[in-house]
Amino acid sequence: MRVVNWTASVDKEKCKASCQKTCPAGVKVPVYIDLIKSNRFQEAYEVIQADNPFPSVCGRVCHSPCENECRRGKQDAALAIRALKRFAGDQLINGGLPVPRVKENKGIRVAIIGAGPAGLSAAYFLTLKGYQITIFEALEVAGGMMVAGIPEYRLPKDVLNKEIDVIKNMGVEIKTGVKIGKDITLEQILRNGYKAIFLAVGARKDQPLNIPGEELEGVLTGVRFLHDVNLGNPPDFSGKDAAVIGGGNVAADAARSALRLGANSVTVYYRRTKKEMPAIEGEIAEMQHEGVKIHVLTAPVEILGNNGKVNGLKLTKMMLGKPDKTGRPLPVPIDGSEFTVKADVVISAIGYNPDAADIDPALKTNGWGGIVVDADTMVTSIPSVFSGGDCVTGAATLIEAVSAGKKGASSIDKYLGGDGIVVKDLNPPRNFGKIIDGDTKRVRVPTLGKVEGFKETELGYTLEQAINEAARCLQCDVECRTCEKVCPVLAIKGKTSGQRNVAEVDVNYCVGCNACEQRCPEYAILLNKLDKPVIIKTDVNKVDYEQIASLCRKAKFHPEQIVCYCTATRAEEIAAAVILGAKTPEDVSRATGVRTGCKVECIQPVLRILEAAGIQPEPRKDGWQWYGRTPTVWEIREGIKAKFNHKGFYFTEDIQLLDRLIENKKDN
Amino acid sequence: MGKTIRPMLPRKSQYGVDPKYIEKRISEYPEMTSIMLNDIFQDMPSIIYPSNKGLDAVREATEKALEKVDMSMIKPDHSVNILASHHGFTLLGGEPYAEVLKTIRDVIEKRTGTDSIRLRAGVGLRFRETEEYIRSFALDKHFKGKAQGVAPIDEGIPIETEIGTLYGLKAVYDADWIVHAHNSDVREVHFHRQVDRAVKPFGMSYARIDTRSTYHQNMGPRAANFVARSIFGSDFVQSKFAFTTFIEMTPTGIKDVIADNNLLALNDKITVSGCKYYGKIMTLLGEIDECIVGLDFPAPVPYVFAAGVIFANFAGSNVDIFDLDNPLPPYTWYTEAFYGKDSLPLVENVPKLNPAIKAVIHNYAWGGYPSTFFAEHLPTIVVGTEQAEAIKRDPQNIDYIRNSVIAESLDSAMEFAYKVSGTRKVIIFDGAIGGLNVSQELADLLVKKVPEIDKKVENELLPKWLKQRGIDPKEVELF
Repeated sequence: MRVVNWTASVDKEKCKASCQKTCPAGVKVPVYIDLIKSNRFQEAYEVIQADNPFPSVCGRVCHSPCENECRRGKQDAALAIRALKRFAGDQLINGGLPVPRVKENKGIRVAIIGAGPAGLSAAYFLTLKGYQITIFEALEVAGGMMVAGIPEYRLPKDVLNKEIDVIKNMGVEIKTGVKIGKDITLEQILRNGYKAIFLAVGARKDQPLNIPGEELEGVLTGVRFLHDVNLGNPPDFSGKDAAVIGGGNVAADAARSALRLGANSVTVYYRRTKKEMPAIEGEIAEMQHEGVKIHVLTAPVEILGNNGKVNGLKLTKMMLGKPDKTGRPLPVPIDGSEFTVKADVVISAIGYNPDAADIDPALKTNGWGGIVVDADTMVTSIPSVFSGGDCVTGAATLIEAVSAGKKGASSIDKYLGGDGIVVKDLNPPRNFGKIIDGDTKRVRVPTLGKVEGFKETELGYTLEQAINEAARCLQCDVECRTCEKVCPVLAIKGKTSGQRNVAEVDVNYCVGCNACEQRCPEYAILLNKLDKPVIIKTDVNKVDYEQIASLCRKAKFHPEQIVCYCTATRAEEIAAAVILGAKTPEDVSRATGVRTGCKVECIQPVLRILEAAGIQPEPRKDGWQWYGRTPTVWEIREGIKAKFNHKGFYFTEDIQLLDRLIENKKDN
Repeated sequence: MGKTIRPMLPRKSQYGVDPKYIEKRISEYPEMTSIMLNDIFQDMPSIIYPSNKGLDAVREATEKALEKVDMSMIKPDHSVNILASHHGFTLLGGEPYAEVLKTIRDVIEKRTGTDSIRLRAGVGLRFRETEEYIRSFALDKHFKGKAQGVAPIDEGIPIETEIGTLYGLKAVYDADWIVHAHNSDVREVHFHRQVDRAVKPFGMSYARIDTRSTYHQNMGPRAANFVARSIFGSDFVQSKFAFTTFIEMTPTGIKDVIADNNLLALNDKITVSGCKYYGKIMTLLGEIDECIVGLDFPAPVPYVFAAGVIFANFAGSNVDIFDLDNPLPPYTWYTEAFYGKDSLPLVENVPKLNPAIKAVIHNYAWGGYPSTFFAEHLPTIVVGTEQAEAIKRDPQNIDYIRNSVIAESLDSAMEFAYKVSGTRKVIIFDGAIGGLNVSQELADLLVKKVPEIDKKVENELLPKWLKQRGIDPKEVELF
């Protein structure tokens, strides 16, 4: 007997593949992987583009948080999602990228400040909805950190420009060389008929090292240095020893760029260990492969110089202390461990902050220069002015900037009377091809293998490699069905909805046992308290008790013996359920409530009673429930008994004990 | 009164009430004191953890133990599953076990060149429990994402054994090689009876529901662990088994880390140490004439610890459960099954739960394990309405609260327990390391009983226990 107090329900937003949920932009990863596997590359690109206007760019430089959550990663290695995204873009980039159809022009103008990933993304999504967009960009080129911060060897300019061209071809106007607060003000923009503004000015202000010697010639800051390198004004490092301070992506890009500018040696100094370096793992490996040295647990204390020029660096050794607010161990200097190294150039890349102070006196900023916004609407302290991206959050990643642009577009759309839905739902038919299930190594992305100036180092997959890699995808969005497979009463099923399966609960059968909630890989099951408890029970009085007793004894149970400890269900109730027509363990569970507590320990009694009634349950079609014949102690062979009895296995004695129970011999 | 040993801290888990509701621990009362096991049993071995060296001692011991293990069968392109169980994470806060797992991984990678090394951590009846530990001890990061909690309702794989087809978990066996990483803590003596203790996870944490249920329902109270022996002995498992590593536990802490390519050789060693060290403590606790039990540890009711002994075993310590001539401990699932509708046993020789237990104060213990039997047979006071609500929600304990009383605070629970029990003897299952927290009155009784128990176990019980398990007591020193 089982008292049911709870039933399960499904959170449909959570009932998605981990990769898609982890992507800040919500890109439908399993769908485009499936399309790549089916040689449908343009459709694959369009599926990515629906959520992210930079498939080819992200295919090269995204930090790919999706891969960290890929379920395949628990088995052999995460799917190479980023590389597959790049592959989809590479198939189209030279023949022309698809330009999405935009809605009819609403005649409403929106200004965007900053042509970085957040600003361009906001422009893209607003244009799709029919808004007329003008972007004001301080630099002479569009792209923000994508163009000024990421070196050519990781992200070729022509690839970036082709995806920016798509946005331009949708009708977005980009005015470069216009600095907000200096060349034009927010007030002027609003006065000129723009109904809303999205501020996406990024974060480019380098944090100082705050150590002696920072003023010396030869001391550079990471963002500024990369800006000069990427926009055509690279310094000459020939024969110089370069020291880079920091462990993030800017430090890695600066170090690898320094190497390409002819540096004699490049060494990265980082105050924690390699494990804590925030740079993308692959970038760290590439950096080392190219010859950059990494010196961990080291921090600078002074930049040394002669005649106003850098000639060395004084450093101290560090050790890791207790975790700081971010959870990373706090680096602590080791007293007396200072040492000096030779350096002609020092590049400081320890972080960068927004610099929004000069935009408008009415614009509220926080202590580190970030723009203060309402977390839900992204509106700033100035009405009609919204903001998102690095200038709000501090330096973040490319895909987070895309997400911020999308969210900003949605908020502005709502503000201007729209529904806030900015993503076009594409529904290409799925093929669901074969999955390579066994252990299969991730297909390695080919690289140049050596430094050839600023030539792109990663080469991208060949067709064959991409198809093979795509076939490793487990298609979690359609193939998961874990909830269905573990449910003891068949109350939950995956149902195809659009392109994916979403679980649905049949509340008439759900007993709130929480098996689905406990195993759902996406934590998508909720349990809801019932207003009134429901009792599941088979009345033993409905069956001739002799029949029950006979069946129980045949199964080697005393009828009153408890066989389900969670519900205190006795063998007689299961026997009654079987006599009344239960044919499978699921039928028995539905009739008596057994297997809905721990879900584990009472399956054998159920099977034994079914077998005693002449029913051998078939394995369930979902393949997870194996109902083989049940071995019992009565069947242990004499040879085994003889071999193991002296090792503490009391087979014979236990058989005697259980037989006495079945016969209910209390008085022996 | 002496200062008490710090109890194990509450742990945030979906199986227990939020630690913020655990406002007071039983050991905080002034009438409580501690008994250090090393003070009362002179032959408790020296331990490596806890010690001043911290986890480094565990890592060093693991590395040393693995030096003599043959790993030549593992090639650089092979995959390896390191198999773990939730139980290890409940010992001494869990960090030592996590460190052993990390070290095994690092040594395998270094010695064999493979980096396809995965952690598969099995559970009992709390299917997310090892997922919580994996995150808590950053094992997912250490295993580069290849760390997975596995549960008995996950996908299975049939294994042909000498007693028929049994079922393991597919994710446990989906590698070229498996490494069995466990501990020698005796824990569920009421189930395994210290017979093939080292092999047990093959019939439990690594097995599917069908097979776990075979163990607990089809094999008899003393023959049950043959399920695990059969699986381990199968051609399938033998074709994948590389080696084993065990934390050698004692009631005072970790004695050593041991490793072997031969699990059964190691099995004999831990049979001896389990009977010797834990046998003395359990026999001593069996001498308690009357007491209030305090449950105060982050684990389900039967699995809260005092001096290395779990409550389920103390609830049966009125019977010598190491002695295989006793067919049934007062608590196993067989015993639980044997009570008829009239609440009387269906067969003779079903011992009652320890009659010395006059009241149980459930100050902090989890759900996630069928525990109603205890509340039905022992007067139980649950502290706090939040905790009571959390237990009510647990499908494995629907009737636990119906059989208990709820106290608003620990103070009122203690007051009530003292009044209704008429005893001032209190034993606290709070995971105190190196000893046990008890009331002064109980401490006095236990200390007085020690010499007699020490002698009885050494001279009389231990030889009997070992002989029953096929180990010549004369050879004990060899282990």
